[in-house]
Amino acid sequence: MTAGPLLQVRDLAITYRGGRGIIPGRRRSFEAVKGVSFDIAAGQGFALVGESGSGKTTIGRAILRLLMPSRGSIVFDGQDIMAFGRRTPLSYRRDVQVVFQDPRSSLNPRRTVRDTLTQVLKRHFGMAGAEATRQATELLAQVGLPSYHLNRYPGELSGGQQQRVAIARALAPKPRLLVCDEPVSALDVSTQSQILNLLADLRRDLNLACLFISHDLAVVRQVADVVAVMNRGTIVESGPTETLYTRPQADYTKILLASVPSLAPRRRAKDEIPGVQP
Amino acid sequence: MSLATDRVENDVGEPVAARPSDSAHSFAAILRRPLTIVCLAGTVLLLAVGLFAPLLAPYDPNDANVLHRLQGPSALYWLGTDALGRDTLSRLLYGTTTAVETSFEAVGLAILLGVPIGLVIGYFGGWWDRVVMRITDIAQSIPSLIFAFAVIAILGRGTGQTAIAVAIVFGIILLRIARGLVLRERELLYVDAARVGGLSTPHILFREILPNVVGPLIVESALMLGSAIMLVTMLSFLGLGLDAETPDWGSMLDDARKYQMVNPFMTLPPGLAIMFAVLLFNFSGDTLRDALMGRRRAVRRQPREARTAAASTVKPAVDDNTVLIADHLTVGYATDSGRLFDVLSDVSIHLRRGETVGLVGESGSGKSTTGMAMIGLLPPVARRSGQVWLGDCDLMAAPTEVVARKRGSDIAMVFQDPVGAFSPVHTIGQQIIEPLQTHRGLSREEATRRAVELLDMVGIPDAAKRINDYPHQFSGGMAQRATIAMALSCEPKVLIADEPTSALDVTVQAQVLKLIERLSSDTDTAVLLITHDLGVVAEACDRVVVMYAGEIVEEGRVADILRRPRHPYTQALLKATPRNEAPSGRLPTIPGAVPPPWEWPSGCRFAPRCGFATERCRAAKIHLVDGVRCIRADELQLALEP
Repeated sequence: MTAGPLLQVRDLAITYRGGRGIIPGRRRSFEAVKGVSFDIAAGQGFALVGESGSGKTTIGRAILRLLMPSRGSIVFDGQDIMAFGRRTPLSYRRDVQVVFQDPRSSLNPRRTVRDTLTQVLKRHFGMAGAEATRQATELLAQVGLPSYHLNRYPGELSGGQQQRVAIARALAPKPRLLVCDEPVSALDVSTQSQILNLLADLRRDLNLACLFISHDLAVVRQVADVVAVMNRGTIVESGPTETLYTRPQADYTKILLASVPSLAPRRRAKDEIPGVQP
Repeated sequence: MSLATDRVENDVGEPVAARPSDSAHSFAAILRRPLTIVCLAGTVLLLAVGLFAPLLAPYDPNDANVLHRLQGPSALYWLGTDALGRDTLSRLLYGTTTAVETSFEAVGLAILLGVPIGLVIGYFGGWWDRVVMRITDIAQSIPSLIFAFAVIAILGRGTGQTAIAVAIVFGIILLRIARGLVLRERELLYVDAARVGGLSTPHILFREILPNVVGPLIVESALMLGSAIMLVTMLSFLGLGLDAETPDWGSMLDDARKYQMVNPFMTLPPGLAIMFAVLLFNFSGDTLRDALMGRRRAVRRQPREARTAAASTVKPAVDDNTVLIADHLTVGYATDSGRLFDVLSDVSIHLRRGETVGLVGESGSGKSTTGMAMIGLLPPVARRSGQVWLGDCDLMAAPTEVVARKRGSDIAMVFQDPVGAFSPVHTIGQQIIEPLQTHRGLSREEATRRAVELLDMVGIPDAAKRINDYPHQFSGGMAQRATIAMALSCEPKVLIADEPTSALDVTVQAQVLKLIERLSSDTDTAVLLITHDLGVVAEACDRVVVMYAGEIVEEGRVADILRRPRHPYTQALLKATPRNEAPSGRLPTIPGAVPPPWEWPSGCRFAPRCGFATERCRAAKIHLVDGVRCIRADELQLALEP
């Protein structure tokens, strides 16, 4: 293994080709990511922060090889993943896993939790039967779910439990990089912090590098070591989390930070008399 | 979890369809219906006749006896004989074999042909998809009978050939359906997750996607069985389908037609057989659809009197500034098995002029149901009691037309998904102008001018021009402003906003919240802001109502409650809300999740998740006293550290 960063992204550009017209020449294309570079070290928590349309999810999908970049390079552990061709090697699928935003649609509604977990174990480690079930039970324990959930369908689980199953599935191939695309934004605040704590524990215990993709600055501050702020397809500012939050340099970062709602009440109730302490 | 199999409640308060694992349950219910039993019995009978025709038939179907030609029913020939003196009953029974065999063959072949191709081209898209779809377009532009003629002209006559001809016609239909279903399914994240999981493409197509689309395909195939019988008999009626040796209903009918002047009875047996077989397959298809895809039952409105308990229809005494009152609102649903459960228990909320009230809680707390009740949009099946007073009108008891008139004029609503709130085929302008014309009686010019004013007021730049844009040309934030403009068009006294900023970016959220704030101070509109985010409450609200498991657990002024929560749930919620602060170890959480309505405890509903709960909390129902539903409120010191 090389001593360099686990993931190295250089000058990445991704273009979406517009709708399939009848006339092939008349496609409108849109450059969602315009020359982005960053590194993620082994075990590091790296966050891409930005608003919708900033290109952060697109970068995640490129790293997951769910779409092909138009320019630049993505190097994982010394191997250029753009050189893979049509088929993605199973070893890369083992190393890089994903947790999506919407746990409801990211689990197959017709498969039990057991099926969801064991088919990944079978594919990557050739496990089957009792051995696979034992491993699936262990994975569930790792994400804090009791084993009786094995026979449940996703529809029988709450949003938080579904997201735990999705995390267990991502952990099954023993990845080194976990892409978390808005892992908590579909969850209630109470459940959000449960999942964020879980991810923090897993990162520490498994030395797992995480790429957090999020629009929520308050959440990112709790989980990331390094933050990159994206706007319109480029990184406008990046740095260690606390430095960036306490001393933002780019105007856009300042605007973003100022927009985060605080819990300090701003308005007074109509019947509150000025000057009287409530 | 026995009740979990019946129906669950989504955020909007409508009962959602049963989950996949519930199919066994609904299947049992469908099996008990008389029509199902008749269909099943009929299908079994038809298949049995088809299988055992040689045993049942009294004669050989091709055994001609010219002495007995064209006879009516008799003891010897129960259904008479045909022009060659063959026994009609025997031919009818053997014809059943032919009909069942060819239709099952045809549909089976159609499935094998259409479904895999549809799945593959739908999943991969690209050139193959386009080429195959153009071919099916051409094939479908030809009437299916003519298409079948062409196939038979090429392949020749015979049972197998007829089945192939019909299979191609139906295979194309199944191909298109399968492709359409896959197009929808492949956008779902579980397909991406399977790809990232390294699963092979055939595995993803046939083991992941296929089980999710198989329901509609089975139903369509079952309905096709009936059509297949029709098509096969039609072909042989025209003398094109089967060879002359094979007894079948179509050629029997053709024979009967030739001799109908001599023996009119001959048309009846094959005619009735075709009719009953087709009807049977169609009803069976419908039954299957109900079982696999959820019953589409007619919504039975409860009569007004039954819907609202006529307890106290007296409007509570309030000051003049109060514009909307929800008074002891209780909403429930009945399961199929007749058991009742409440999703909202005794909720009372007052909204005063120019005031913004936040309604917060986790999903499943009943906050959206409260919002829907307050605008008179509860689903008709909901059982309800209590009143919602808008001025002197009780929205819960008033006739539907009256409530509809109030909606859009006195009270308006803004939803979470701004783009979905607009019709995609009309311009933003049209959708604001038309209500102005109908509700306020403005002329087209006046209404247009007002619409521009409104869009300008909610901060849409270049409003006069953008009024001609379609909703998809607006960004999320712009669209949400436009929905607010639309809601405000008739100057409502009350605006109910259900998670208006949850789908928006933080910068846009800040702007929309400012807009709502300005609105209440400038136009004196009362706003009920439903949200899960206490940060939004802190930002935009005067008062806050905290809900948990269908009950109000705490209410009061935002300043008081955010600084000194008195209910443990409010405190827990506040602690769990992520703040823009440097991390300090583990994030505080609330253990567990909101229980579903049928599992609400009889004592304090939060007790199972509460760190302060005692035996006394679980013993009996806790009442809302002095703005807090907690018997330990006074002894607990819940103030948050600054």
